[in-house]
Parts: sequence; structure tokens; C-alpha cells
Amino acid sequence: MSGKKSEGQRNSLGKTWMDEELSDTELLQRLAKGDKSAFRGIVQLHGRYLFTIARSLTTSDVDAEDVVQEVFLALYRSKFRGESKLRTFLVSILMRQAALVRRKHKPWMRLAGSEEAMAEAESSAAVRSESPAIDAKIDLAELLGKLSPEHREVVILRELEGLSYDEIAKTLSIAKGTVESRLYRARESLQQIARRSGEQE
Amino acid sequence: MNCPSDQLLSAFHDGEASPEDAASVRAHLADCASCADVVEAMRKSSQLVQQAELLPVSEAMINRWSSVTRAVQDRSIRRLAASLTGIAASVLIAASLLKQPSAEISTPQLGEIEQWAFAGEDDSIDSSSSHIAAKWMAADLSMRSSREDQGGAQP
Repeated sequence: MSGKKSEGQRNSLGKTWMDEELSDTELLQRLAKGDKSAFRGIVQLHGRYLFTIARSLTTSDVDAEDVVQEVFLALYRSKFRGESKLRTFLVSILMRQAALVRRKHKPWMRLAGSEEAMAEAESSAAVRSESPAIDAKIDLAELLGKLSPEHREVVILRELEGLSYDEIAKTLSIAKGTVESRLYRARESLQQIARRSGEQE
Repeated sequence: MNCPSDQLLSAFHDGEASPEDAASVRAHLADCASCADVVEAMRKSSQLVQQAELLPVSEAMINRWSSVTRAVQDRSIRRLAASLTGIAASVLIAASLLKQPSAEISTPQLGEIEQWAFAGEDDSIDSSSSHIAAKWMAADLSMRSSREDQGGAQP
């Protein structure tokens, strides 16, 4: 299944934004009525995306899976009823938890951004993409994994969640000017990464 | 307008420049190929992120993530195991040794479980909630063993 999203028309599961929003609303309503199968529906809709983001923040599939489990647990315990976009809510929890883990486990847990982590991410990504496409698509986890945590956060919220600078500032508890400068620098990094991966082909 | 800063061009690309700045930038871009290139490069890096491949997930992973009520209980067990002291510990040990439903051990209400599990987030478990958790865990253990005896599947 391709992760293609052109101009935000269709998302990674081939659904339009409208489709996904309707699905979210319906699923949340059913969940509120105690329909447990609705929970599985939410997992199916958003699991792959969350796992990809989580993988960019951790160094193993197992750790990424655990982080995603934490996020869905938090949703289960929360009273979220669709006040904002569900996926944005989920990815915000994800990033907050990743930041907590970073603060708590710094000496022990190698997170993406360290030399070894990046090398490992690159080699595992190479193993995963075994069928060479004509235009070899870059792995989102790999791409995000190469950014610093601060850059990664603003890129996720702006490019993938479509939040405004004000909304990003509120989500991350930073100044709007900081959002602006971080995004600009993140884009410089992304362009460098793209150039480098282009040179490797 | 002299060439605007790349940072302003980045804000412009996001539609976040002020109306005055945006108008100036638009006018400037009409005449400046170099700045137009910068904006185009930013558009490409946005596209790169938005079109990047997601990782595959297996049905097994979906199953694990979906089995949330089980996960709440399992995590509660693990957290409890790490923090049991005194009376709570002996209640638990007694229940696991007996391996049968005891009249004195009643399953706490669901709200109590959730309350305890949520309170566990910051790793501080006071003695009262520890008592509730011990009751629950003992009841759960006795339920599990009787289920195993009957050859029943786990929920």
C-alpha cells in the first residue's frame, strides 16, 4: 500500500480527508456508546501512521509498537469525543510520551538522532524496501528519524497534521516565532537529507 | 523589496506571513528567480514528507493494539508487582496459593481499577489504592485459574 498523498487529497490508506473525518466521527460515537469493535476500527485507521511516527522516535520495531500501545491506551482512558481531529490528538500524545521517555531514559535508550540509531534506521530501511520502485520512495520513518526532535515535531504537526503556527505553538507550548524558525530550519535539514539520499542512488 | 529572508519565505509558503508581507513577497517572486527557486524547494520538501511511505503493520500488531482492556489489566499487574508491600502482598500471595475464589475477596468495581491504573502513571501508589489493586489482582488470579481448570479461553 503506497503512502502517497498528493496535495492532501488522498491519505496513506487511499481515503480522502473527508472520508477519514467521517470515519473518525462515526467510530468515536460508537466507542462512546460502548462499542468495543469501534476501537479496533480506530486502530486500523490510524495504527500504521502512528507506528511510522513512533518508529522515527525509537530504534526498534518493538519499542515503536509499545509506544503506539501507550497512545491507544491513553485514548481508551481519555474522554476524547472528536473535539479536534482524532489523528492529531493521537500523534500529540505520541510526541508527548516520546519526549517524556527521552527525558527519563536518556542514558539508556538510544533514540533516533544518535549516530548509531541513524545507521541502524538506514540499514533496516534498506532491508525493508526490497522491491526497488522506479522512483524509489523514501521511508517516512527514515526521513523523520534523521531530524532532530524539535524539527521532527514541527514537521509532523505542520506537514502531516496541517496545523497552523498558532495551533502548533499551543500544542508544543512554544512561541509562534519559535515555530516559524524551527520549521524553516527543519526544511533546510530536509532538503539536505533529500540531496544526500539522491546522491546515494 | 530586497530579497526576503528564507525564514519569511518559509512562513509565506505556509500561508503564515502577514497580509502586507505576503503581498510584498508575491510581488518580489514575480521578478526574482532565485527566491522563486527557494519557495519551490520548500514546496518539494513538503511534498517529500507528505508522500513518504508509511511502514507496514501486521494483523498481529493491530490485534495487540486493539486488545485494550486486556492491556490495561496486564499493565496494572506489572505495575502492581513492582510496588506491592505488606498487607497487599500477603493478600495476593494467599490468593495465589489457594487458587480458588474466596468469599472475602470481592472484585472491585471497574471505576476503581481505572482509577488505580491511571493513578499509577506517576509511579506513586499510596496504600489505599494498593489495597484495591491487591483485591482486584487476587480476584483476577482466582478467576484465571478456575478458567484454566475449565479449559476456557482468556477474554
